[in-house]
Amino acid sequence: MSTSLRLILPCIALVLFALAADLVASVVGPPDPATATTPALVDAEREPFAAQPEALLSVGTGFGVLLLGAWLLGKFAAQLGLSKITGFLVFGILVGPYTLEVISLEQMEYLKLVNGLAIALIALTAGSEIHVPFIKKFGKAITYISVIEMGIVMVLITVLMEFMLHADDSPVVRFGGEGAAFWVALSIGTIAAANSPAVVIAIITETGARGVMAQTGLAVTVVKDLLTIIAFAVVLALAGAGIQRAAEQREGYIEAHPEYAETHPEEMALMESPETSDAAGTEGAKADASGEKKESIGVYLLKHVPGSMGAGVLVAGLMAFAALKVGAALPIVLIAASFAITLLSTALGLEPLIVGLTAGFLMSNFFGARLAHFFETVEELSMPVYAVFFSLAGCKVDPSVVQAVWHYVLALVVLRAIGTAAGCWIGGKLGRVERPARDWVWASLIPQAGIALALTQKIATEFAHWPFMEKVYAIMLSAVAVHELIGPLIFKFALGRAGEINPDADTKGGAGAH
Amino acid sequence: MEIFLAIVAVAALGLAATSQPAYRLRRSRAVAGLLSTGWPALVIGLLLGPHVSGLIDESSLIDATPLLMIGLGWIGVIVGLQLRREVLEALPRRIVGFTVIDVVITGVVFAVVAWLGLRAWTDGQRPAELWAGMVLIASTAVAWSMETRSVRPAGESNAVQRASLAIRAGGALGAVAAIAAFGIGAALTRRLDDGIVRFDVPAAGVRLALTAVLAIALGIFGRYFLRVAGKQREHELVVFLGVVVFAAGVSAQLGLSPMLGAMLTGAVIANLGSTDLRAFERFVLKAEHTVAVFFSVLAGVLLEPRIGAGGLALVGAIVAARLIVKPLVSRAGYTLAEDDDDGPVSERPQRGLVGLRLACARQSPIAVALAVGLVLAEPSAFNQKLLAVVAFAGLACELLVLGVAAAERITTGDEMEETASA
Repeated sequence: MSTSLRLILPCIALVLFALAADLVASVVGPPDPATATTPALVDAEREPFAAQPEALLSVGTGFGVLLLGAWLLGKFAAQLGLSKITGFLVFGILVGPYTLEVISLEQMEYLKLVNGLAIALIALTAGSEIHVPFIKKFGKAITYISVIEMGIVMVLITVLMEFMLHADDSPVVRFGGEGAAFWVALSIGTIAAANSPAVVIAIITETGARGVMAQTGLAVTVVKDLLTIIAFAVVLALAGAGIQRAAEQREGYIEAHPEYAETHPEEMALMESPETSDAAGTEGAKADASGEKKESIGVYLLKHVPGSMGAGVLVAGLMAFAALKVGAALPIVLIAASFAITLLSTALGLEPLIVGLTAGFLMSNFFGARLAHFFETVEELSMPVYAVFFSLAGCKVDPSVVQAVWHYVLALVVLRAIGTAAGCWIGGKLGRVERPARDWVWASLIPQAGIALALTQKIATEFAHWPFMEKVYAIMLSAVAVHELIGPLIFKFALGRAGEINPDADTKGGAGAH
Repeated sequence: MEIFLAIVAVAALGLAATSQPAYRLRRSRAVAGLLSTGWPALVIGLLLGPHVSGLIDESSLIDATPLLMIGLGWIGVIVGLQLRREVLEALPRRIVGFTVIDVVITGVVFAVVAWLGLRAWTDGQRPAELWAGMVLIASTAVAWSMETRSVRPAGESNAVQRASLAIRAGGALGAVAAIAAFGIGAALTRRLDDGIVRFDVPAAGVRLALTAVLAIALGIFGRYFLRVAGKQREHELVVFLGVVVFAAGVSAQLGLSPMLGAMLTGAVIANLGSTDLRAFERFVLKAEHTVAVFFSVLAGVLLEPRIGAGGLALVGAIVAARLIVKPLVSRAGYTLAEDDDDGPVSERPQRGLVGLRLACARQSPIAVALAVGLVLAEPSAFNQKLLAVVAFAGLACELLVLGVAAAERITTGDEMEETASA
């Protein structure tokens, strides 16, 4: 049997086993409170209680399937010369709630704890990969590439989306007018500029890549993450006024075209529902445009960048102290600290990625070899965490949505790639980055994942009251999904072309002793 | 936020447990005994939980369900790995006899005690409703803590060493019996769609058969995955976590104890024979302490301490029954375990023998895990009280036995000898 079959067959068997267990559990397992006929249960003391939802009882099975299946498919992907991350993502798509339904949406909710752990580990690793001497040498190039690439991508995608929204006689224009169309397009443009340090760091770790391209790519994705977060906050703040104008235009349009209400009853019903009218009403828009909102944006930015960095300094100090003291209990410290970074940052309104990045950067650069064992532990824990994190990300992809808006998505992906390549080439040239790194660094900016998804979700929430939002959301989500899938492929290919892959690294993922 | 506090608390505990002062404290036998069975962590969990300080909300434990599942699976696999054919064949028949005596006598006595206690507590609830509780209490009474250092005298004779060995081996076998008894027993009832608990033997048969199939399949997969992982630690971690959580997860999904599926899987892996197995065992055992601390804290958070008079009466009955039944069992067991060359242990004056005889009255750490499994499947207030009953009875027995052993050492001068040598 070939090595590939040795990886694929157990993967299929695992999925079939989970499906069989699900089937048997639905017949002889405990009743699901969601479908059970008796809503009020009592215990032996006749005290009422709520039964565990089926999704919670089966969360262990889901976790196990994701972990083992993604790992096997990741190894299979590596056999094919692809990135393991691609394998993890594809496995997530296959077993996710929109395809085979081995993992349900409810189960994904119960597994969100893994995301917190993953984000912190990724940030710590990414921070540790950025070294002061490198920044001194390539700081100018990193700045040029980040700013120029981001600017070009934002402009290109905004223009493209404006054009497409008009050309398609989209409800965005019909409903919201020019203002809404512009803000929607700019929002998509901002999200298009987002990258995925998680994918980049995962592939650098996987391939053991060392070189100018890998380090520049990583540094640029990190810097661009900061810039994207800032730009996004500014776009959202400015959108307040745009929404105000759009709301007025919409009302004017409906008054001038009374027949519209008759031909579009569903949209009218949606707009007239109390929830929608509250959100879309001028009250909300006025509040958005008010000084109060602007002040909160200022606080938001202050927290997100300097605040998060400050927290990162504190975390670095505490973690370094603990790592130097504990010895054998290091995994406990690391897991607890990772959860703490994510959960406490979220609670305080900080950005966990920046906190972790700062901590990782400081620990790596100022404690050096004394904390080598700490980063070895991070690397050991990375494999299971990445497998679950990226396969969960894959679970979120709905292939039918991608199919419905594929022409928008195709245009967006192609233009973004062109903009990214052009921006990186110009920035690299100005920053005097040598070839082949200059030719290939753009590939590190293709992957998108967590941050882009989070911003997409934010936009969807902000514009939830617009009837066209469903379609716009589908475009953005599909574009992120496509970048999530093709990004690792392109980046790994580019690392190979730049000659930076470590040949001794575990990139083949073969069947061990076989 | 609550789960953050839980995790930080666990981390602090983990750090404290591995710190220098903790190591110094562990030189004291009584403290070592308490720490090894996880009671301090459980008490801290109780203090952090919703019924005392309220720092950790009950609902936040839902977020920790995958972690609980890993914990239960981990314990199940560790117990299952002990069932290697060569080990079982090498085990003296006397030890097996000792365990059988314990399982039969304890099972019967505690089933009766639990049945009467639960009937009185719940004002005559239907048999099916009380069945799982009865099986839980009877199963948790089987076996005992395998830690013997805290109950042994400083100067040890061969007979005392053999008795200690009998306690450790019997405790390990008893843990297997306890998990199997609870897993099979509790499977006989289930809550049907109308919300009423009923005996359902055919469904239990199907679920148990499927769990056995799962264990065999997962055992074979597990061994295969280990070979695929090679010797890379991060890949081994994926395989171990995946196997553990999958086995526990499918069992829970089928309405069975998560530890049963995991234990069977561990047993299958142990008996498939592989050079990777030793590395796998080392890997598993390395994290034992961490998992135990983490798990004990979560158990402390889950339990409902307000058990009322009925619950307290049941705790009292369990403690009394343990202190009466277990020394008798241990006496019979030591007689079986003794060596003819040294003469009967029971007839020779032995220092520390009282503590050793009472050692079997200490509760197995498996007991709390079994109760947590029940709460995880059905988090009713009653099941949380059952968890408290099991925990309180175990703690009371622990303190009584360690107290007696310490007093005996002081009386015989062992404690002073030990302190002087330290």
